[in-house]
Amino acid sequence: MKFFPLKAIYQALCMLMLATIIGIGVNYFHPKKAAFSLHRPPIKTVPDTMLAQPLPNVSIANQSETNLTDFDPLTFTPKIVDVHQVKKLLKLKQAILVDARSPAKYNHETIPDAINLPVEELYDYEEDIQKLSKKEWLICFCDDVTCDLGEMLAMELANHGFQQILYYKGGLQDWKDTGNKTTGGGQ
Amino acid sequence: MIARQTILDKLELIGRIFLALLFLYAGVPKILNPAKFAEDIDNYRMLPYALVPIMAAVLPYLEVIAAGSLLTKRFRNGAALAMLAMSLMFEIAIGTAVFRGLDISCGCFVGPGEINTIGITRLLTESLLLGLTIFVYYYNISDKKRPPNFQTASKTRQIFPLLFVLIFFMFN
Repeated sequence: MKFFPLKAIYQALCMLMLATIIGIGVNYFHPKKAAFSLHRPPIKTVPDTMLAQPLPNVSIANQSETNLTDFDPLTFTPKIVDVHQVKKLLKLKQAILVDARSPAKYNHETIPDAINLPVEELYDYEEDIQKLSKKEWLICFCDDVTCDLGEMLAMELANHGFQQILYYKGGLQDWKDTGNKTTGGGQ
Repeated sequence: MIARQTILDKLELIGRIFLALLFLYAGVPKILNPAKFAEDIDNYRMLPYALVPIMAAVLPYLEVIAAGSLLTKRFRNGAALAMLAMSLMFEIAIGTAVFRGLDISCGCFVGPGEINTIGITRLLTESLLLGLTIFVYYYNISDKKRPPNFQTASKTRQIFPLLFVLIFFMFN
């Protein structure tokens, strides 16, 4: 008995070919298509004018005050900001940085004044989530551009009813690369 | 011997249906949002970016086609081989990401707001999945001419597929 019989290999290759034809064909017309490109596209950040707009009137406790008419947590995509926008919002005291990584990583090194909401243990942090300010932007971040925890946290906060969420995709690595100081968590 | 063979046949059928449903469940959401899946693949930083969108466009359809074909008699072997190759690829990708300490979404099941990070647990789950695909593939290619040691498998070995399914759900 061959472990890789020719017939099975032939069938598998046919399936791969079929999947390639259908996949690339459908993707071409797909509204959420994976864009073909030789190089990684730059990160698109929100325009500064959007950050200058007044924050939505949000109250988790009283849903009647909440403006959720055009807000759907299931289709929510966090708005991405860069280091300059983060620093500007922090300077104006209009934002809170939220580190989505584990407490161990947070305690080792984080952005100054960031609070920790580890996305993988979020069920232990319900009280802290309820205490978060509804009058400031919540800027979620994690390690670097490859890290997904910041985006996941943004999604989770959206599911908790927060609307004023931003995502600092560059994360801690970008913060350091642009010459900013870091600190141990809680200091 | 015949009774044992019947049990093995049933276990293989359970394993095959489970794999088909799992790959279908994994493939369909990715078809609905290829852009998100491309981002998940790119986060592994294992492929040149030019290949990432192609992979994101093709892989979900391969999962769905293989899942459907696994339930047919004619294309079963090819589907099992395709699933084996995909499981091996996922195992290597997740293994290297865990080794490099990446905090990324595994991209296994793309869903809105789904917390699906990689780690040792995910690696073990994928190992179980790989084990199950190997069993299903091996069982099917050796259908007509089974090696003697396979036919006289112990009872412990016979419950492996059920254990795979059970532990898979426990980890998830």
